[in-house]
Amino acid sequence: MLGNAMLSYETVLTTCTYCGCGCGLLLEVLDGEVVGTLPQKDHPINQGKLCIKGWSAHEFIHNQGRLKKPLLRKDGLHEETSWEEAFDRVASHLLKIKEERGPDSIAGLTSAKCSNEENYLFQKWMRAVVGTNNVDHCARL
Amino acid sequence: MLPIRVMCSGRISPHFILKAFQEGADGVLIAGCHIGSCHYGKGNYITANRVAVMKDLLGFVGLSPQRIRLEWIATSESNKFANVISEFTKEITQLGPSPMRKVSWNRKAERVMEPLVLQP
Amino acid sequence: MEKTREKMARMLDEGFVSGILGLRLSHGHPVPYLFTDSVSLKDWVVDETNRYPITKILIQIWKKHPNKVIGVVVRGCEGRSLIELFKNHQLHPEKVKGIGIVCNQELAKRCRCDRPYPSEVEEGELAKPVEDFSDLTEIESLPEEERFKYWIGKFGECIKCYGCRNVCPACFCTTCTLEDPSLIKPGGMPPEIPIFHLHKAFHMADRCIDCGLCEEACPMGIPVRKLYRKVRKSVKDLFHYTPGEDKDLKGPLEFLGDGSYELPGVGR
Repeated sequence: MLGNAMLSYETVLTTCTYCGCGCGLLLEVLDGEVVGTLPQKDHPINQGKLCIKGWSAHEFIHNQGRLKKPLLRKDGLHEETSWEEAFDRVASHLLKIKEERGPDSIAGLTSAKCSNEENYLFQKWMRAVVGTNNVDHCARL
Repeated sequence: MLPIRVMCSGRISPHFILKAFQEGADGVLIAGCHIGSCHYGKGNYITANRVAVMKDLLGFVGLSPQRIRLEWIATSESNKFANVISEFTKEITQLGPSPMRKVSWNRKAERVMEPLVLQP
Repeated sequence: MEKTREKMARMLDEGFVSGILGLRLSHGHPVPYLFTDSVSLKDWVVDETNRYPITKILIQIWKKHPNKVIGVVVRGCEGRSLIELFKNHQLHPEKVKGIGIVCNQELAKRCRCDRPYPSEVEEGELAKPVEDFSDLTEIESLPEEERFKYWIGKFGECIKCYGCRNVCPACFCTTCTLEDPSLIKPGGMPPEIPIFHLHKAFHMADRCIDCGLCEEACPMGIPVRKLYRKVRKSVKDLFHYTPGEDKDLKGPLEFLGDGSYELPGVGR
């Protein structure tokens, strides 16, 4: 109608990933890209208030420094590989360590910059598949 | 007393005045050209407006508004300059040291959270 | 609300605006959303307890699509913020269409609002303005030392979340004074007290529209709105200027230099 670029703006309800509080956030999505954060006013935990980490919770999503392909160390240098090769390498090595030294010799570290659902999946995998409780998070979640 | 020279009193941002108080100044004296004879046209009008609002704001927070003073002193009025300074110094001595000095967080040497330095 | 909804639907259908910014019910919560067709307007709600900085969102959208005309649902305070943003060239008056809604009397009393209605509304009863400066006189009745102690105690709780600045519809500077390394030390807690809050308070002297979002956004409950109301009142008493009233009048702290805000006794 007016103009030729698609115009769309919406806010998506989500929970902050940084610490154990779990404040309610709204991620502002303008034309398919996450551009900002707003606090959720009627959330029972934070009631429309956010700390500095919450206010910048959108900044890591489209950051240029994020990896797009898995990197494997070959001859001392990191090289881009395919997902299949990376999975094969990780699975075979972890299995070998698990057989030789037992499941508790493996530990997992996740990050506050993954979504809460990804963190849940990771700790479930560590506990059920690898068989160890040694899993932690940068905010000790 | 620390004199700071600027080209026009209109250059003095209200943020400079606040920073001076934060660093421990007991009083701030602003001396500008007379109204109507500003070298740059009309810079002193804006200074007058700013200082008027700043006095109200500082009074509200608990710093006496007498700690800021705005005077119009021409370049040739050296006697007036000397008199204003001695008057102002006397006033400030009577008012006492700035209450900012008693706030423990404001000491430049001390920080509440020292950065963690890992020894190799 | 139905008359306003119909008007909005007509504006979208006739292509008068490319979209209307308002609140939408999403999983039971009212959140900001840009309605682009009249069918989605059935989810449009008006919420009295949850207010969002909708004009600030509009700046973000308009900067990316400067050729489009966008409508926005405004209350009294948001209407004032639109006028202030027009004056400061953050929005263009021909590219924004305001659709007024009223606040009820309870909200006007809670906000101590002195004009709880925008310049034009479709329906609804206009609430009566509330003139209540009891929050300021309470502080002014204390002696100076106690006042200072009170404010330093409150400011000392600040965690430097920048919430008051992020949510303020009148704060649009790309380089903020509160992040200037020569004035405020970057990083480090607690912030420089009290100038961290006084810097913003001075900026609000001729821009604050008294919406109250800053105090609602402070996690420590610092009464920053009292500071901004005080400077706003000073500017009103000294210069007879209220931000958000007249769209052609510029404030006294902007460089006018024509003596139009000359104080009595200034040229002595």
